[in-house]
Amino acid sequence: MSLLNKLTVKNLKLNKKRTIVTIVGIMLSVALITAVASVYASGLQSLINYEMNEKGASHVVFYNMPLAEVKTLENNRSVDTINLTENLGYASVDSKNKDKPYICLKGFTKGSLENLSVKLVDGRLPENDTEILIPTHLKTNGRVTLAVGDEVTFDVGKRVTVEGVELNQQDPFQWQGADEGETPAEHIAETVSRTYTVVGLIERPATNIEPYFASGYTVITRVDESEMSGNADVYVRFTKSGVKNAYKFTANMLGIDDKLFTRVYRGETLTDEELLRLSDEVGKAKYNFDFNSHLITLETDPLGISAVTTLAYAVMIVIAIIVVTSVFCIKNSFDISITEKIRQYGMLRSIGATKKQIRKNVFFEATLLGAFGVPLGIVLGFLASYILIIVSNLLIADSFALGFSLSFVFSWTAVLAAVLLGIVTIYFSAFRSAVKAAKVTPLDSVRNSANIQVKSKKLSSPKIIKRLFGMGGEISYKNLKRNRSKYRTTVISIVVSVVVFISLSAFMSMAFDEVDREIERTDYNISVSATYADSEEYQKLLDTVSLDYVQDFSVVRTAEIEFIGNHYNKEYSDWIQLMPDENGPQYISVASVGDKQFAKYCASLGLDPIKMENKAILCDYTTVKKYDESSNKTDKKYMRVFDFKNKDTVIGLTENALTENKINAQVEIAAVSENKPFGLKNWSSPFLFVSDETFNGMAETTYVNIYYKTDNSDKLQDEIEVQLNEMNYNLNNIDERFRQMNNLYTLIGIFLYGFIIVISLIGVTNIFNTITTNMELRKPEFAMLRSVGMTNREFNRMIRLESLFMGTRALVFGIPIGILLSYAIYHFLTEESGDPYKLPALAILIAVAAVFVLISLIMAYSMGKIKKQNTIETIRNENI
Amino acid sequence: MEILRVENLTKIYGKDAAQVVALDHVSFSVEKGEFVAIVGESGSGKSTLLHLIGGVDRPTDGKVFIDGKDIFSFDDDKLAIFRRRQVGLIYQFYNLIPILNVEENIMLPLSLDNRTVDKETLDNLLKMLGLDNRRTHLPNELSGGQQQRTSIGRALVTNPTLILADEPTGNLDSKSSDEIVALLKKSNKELGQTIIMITHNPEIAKIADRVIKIEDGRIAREVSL
Ligand SMILES: Nc1ncnc2c1ncn2[C@@H]1O[C@H](COP(=O)(O)OP(=O)(O)OP(=O)(O)O)[C@@H](O)[C@H]1O
Ligand SMILES: [Mg+2]
Repeated sequence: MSLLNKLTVKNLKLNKKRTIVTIVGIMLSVALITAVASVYASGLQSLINYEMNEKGASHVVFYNMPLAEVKTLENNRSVDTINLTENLGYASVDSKNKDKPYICLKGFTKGSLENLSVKLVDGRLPENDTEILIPTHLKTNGRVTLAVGDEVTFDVGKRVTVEGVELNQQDPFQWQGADEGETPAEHIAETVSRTYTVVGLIERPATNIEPYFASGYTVITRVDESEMSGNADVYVRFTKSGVKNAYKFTANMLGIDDKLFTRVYRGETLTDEELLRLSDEVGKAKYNFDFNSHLITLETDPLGISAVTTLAYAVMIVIAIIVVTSVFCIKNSFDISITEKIRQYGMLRSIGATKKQIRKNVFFEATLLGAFGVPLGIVLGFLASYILIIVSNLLIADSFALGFSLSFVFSWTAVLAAVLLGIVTIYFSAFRSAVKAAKVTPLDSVRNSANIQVKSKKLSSPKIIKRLFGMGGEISYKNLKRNRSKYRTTVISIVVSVVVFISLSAFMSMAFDEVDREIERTDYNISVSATYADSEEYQKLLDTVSLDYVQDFSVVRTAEIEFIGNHYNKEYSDWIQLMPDENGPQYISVASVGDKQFAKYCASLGLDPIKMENKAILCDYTTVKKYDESSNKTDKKYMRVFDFKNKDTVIGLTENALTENKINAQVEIAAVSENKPFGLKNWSSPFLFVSDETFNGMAETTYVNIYYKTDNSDKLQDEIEVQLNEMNYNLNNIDERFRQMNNLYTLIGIFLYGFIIVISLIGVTNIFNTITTNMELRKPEFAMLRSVGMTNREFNRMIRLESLFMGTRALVFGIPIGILLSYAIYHFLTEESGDPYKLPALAILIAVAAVFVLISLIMAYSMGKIKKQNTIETIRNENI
Repeated sequence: MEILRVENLTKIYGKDAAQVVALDHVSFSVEKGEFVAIVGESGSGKSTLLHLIGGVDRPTDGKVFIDGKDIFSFDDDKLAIFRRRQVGLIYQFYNLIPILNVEENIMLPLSLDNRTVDKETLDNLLKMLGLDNRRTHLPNELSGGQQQRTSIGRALVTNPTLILADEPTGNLDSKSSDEIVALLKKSNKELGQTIIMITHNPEIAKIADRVIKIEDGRIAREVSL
């Protein structure tokens, strides 16, 4: 190593603390970049994993391909793996779904069982061709009761149309003529009886195995590739390079023109003429096929997915913020290091060092610091992202019912990005210092005064300072003024941290407030909605309200009454500038809530439920929003929608959505109320509430909403699930949802606070370096002050005052900007809700405390170091 | 052989009213192996002259030829390289690097050129400087005289065409001063080193071959001894 570089190393070692702190700054910056890049990469990979788990790892499926053709595919260089499944035929089962009256027996090879989306719920995979897997929807949808361990015999044959054309899973069930659901136009022929043992239960297979419209429930048995005959469904996974040409490759396989085909799958819009040509081409295709386009896009061009693009933009913005902040902070450390060495550089220049050598020397220093900081940062960043992903999974575990979870992947791209951006950061940080150092002239060393540029501008401190704080106060005030540019970076770093902290805290508390408000808005914990087929099912639904843990409930059925004439409230139609048609139809909802709840509701209004036959309680108060284009503001007003009064009668028709059956409806209004029955608090449309009996007389429906109030929603959910076991229903656990929302916000909080803390820490490294160095540089001044008799107490007071001045300065800027920003966030996020702006008082308090504690600590630390030093030593060293 | 020629060297600091003419058309030349002393009142322009000769500053007008080369025709970097090979500078405040030891400080100009000297040459130099038992000491472990001898060593190590010394004894007691002067004289006599030295001390000026007196930026008198 050349002496010059050795000199740098020695200097770095000499200023060990500053060196370490600068390395820490670099490390944190790189770690942050690595963590962001790694989380992004992991997220992307998780999406791919999710997609593979959902639809299998294959990119495209060719249905019913002759085995001879498969051979040519196998040898293609673009193809990574091929999995085959054999169509063994259909068998009729006693299914309740009339469009799905069969099971479709498929033979899967070992590879297919592993690589396609076969998700075992119970039991095990089949090991030979007498064992089968059955899907869960065979029971839930088809109501065919088969269980693991059962032995079953199917009459397996071909699906053929009346014309004798063979059908498969890509063809929906065929009906005769236009009258769907009447006479089948197909049947199963050439049946052979086969007996199987059910060994496992699987989730409904992905659509590339069983399309939504398929007419048979997929039942899977095991076959060996060598025993296959005839045609097979071929699931193709391309190689890394092959997948880029997946569409072209497929078009060639199908024997059709690849240009339009590729374009349409890339998401381009085609002209009508082109579309026509394309459908013509596809019609000529040799096989039916199905792409996993999501997987292809994710693997080849993830930015083609808009959510990913948004995420990528966010990542880029965050990284830009990190780089800019880091450059700003790390730059200062270099600046300090170079300023301290001005004399040394001057001397080197006087003995003949070139500018280039000096510049190189500064960059060498930067390289050394980077050589430590960057690798450490990368390790730390991956560690952090690993932990973040684990924590995220814990928090979001059940938010995504579909089994999405983040998985950590080590990404070389992230490493590369971190290294490159780290180098860029360090380079930009060192650049100005290098230029500055190279500008030092030999004379600067001779004159011995380069770094003390006394500004002739008169420094006067306000009298109040002297009166309040004495001589020490005046000196510290003048010092801050004189070293303004040196302290400016410190002050700006603090301001940035304070601003970001206050506004982020405000954002987080608004988010959590939002959850609280949502909780207030809903008065139930669980809701179940279901379409019931018959009174037996309806009864089952009704029975759930007598389960344990249920404290209150309503069973809500609704219908819409269409009536003629204008009954809109004038205020309402004026407000939304509606011109009602006197003869046109208008609509109002009618609802029953169950006898028990209705009785309670009547009682609360002072009505007798017994006397409510064909009578209704009108609830049409609502908050109506209006957007005003000219002022770009949304106004809202609480008012009634209709002008019906007590004793008025509403006469109209209700319609059964399924049968289109119309029924006459007539109710008399017994009361107008602002309050709705339990469970309907957040329904905003106008309602006529009637008793069950009245409702039955005027409307038909097969849809019901049940709202439960409970103190143990998880238990209740379990019980309901057991009770409704074989039915189709939708359960919404509000408590759970709020828990998930809270978790989600907590997660966002962890990300945001983690980010701001690390950014602040980078700022702290800068503040630390500035303050300690300035204290160091003022050693002679301190020595002088002591020699003229300043006591220890006065001295300490002076230092404390400096901390106070500096902190105050930073907060004077930081707090107002922070408040302004938090107001802006409030304005964009929640002003709609009408809640008043809340000053982020706690965040401000924390910021104030943190700033003073931080500055005092650093000051005290560097003072401790200085006090230990011998005054004579100080003076002597100055003269070398 | 003429090793240095100064032609009409002029240096003006500042502008207009605040203008200071530090050097006013100074011309002279120095032969190889000469020991020249420059004397003059404080503020007369001695240091300015020396800095210009050493190429660490640029003149307002005039030329400096060292070994026949017009040094101000070089750009900054070329000048720096020329300086480290051909000129040795010695200052009143020794300008050593506090964290490098004696040996390293002396070797610095060579290492800038990626050169080294063999151990024997270095040993001889240190012996001549009387620093052979101080070679690993840091500057703040040395006396003023020893520090100045180190900086002389640093000037001599490249075998420069010219040594320029600006009041090398200004900060030292008379004993140390004598040692330094003796050392310079020795390198002049034994190594044939050309030396130009500024001094305020008439006694010290006497050992020079020639004394140039500067007054108000002009050569007032030249005395050959
Ligand atoms: N950077 C500068 N800017 C303005 N004037 C300068 C500058 N450097 C030197 N001078 C002026 O030039 C004149 C000559 O200065 P110089 O340093 O050469 O004097 P000197 O003879 O070396 O004095 P001394 O014996 O005190 O060292 C002085 O009047 C000085 O004030
Ligand atoms: Mg001088």
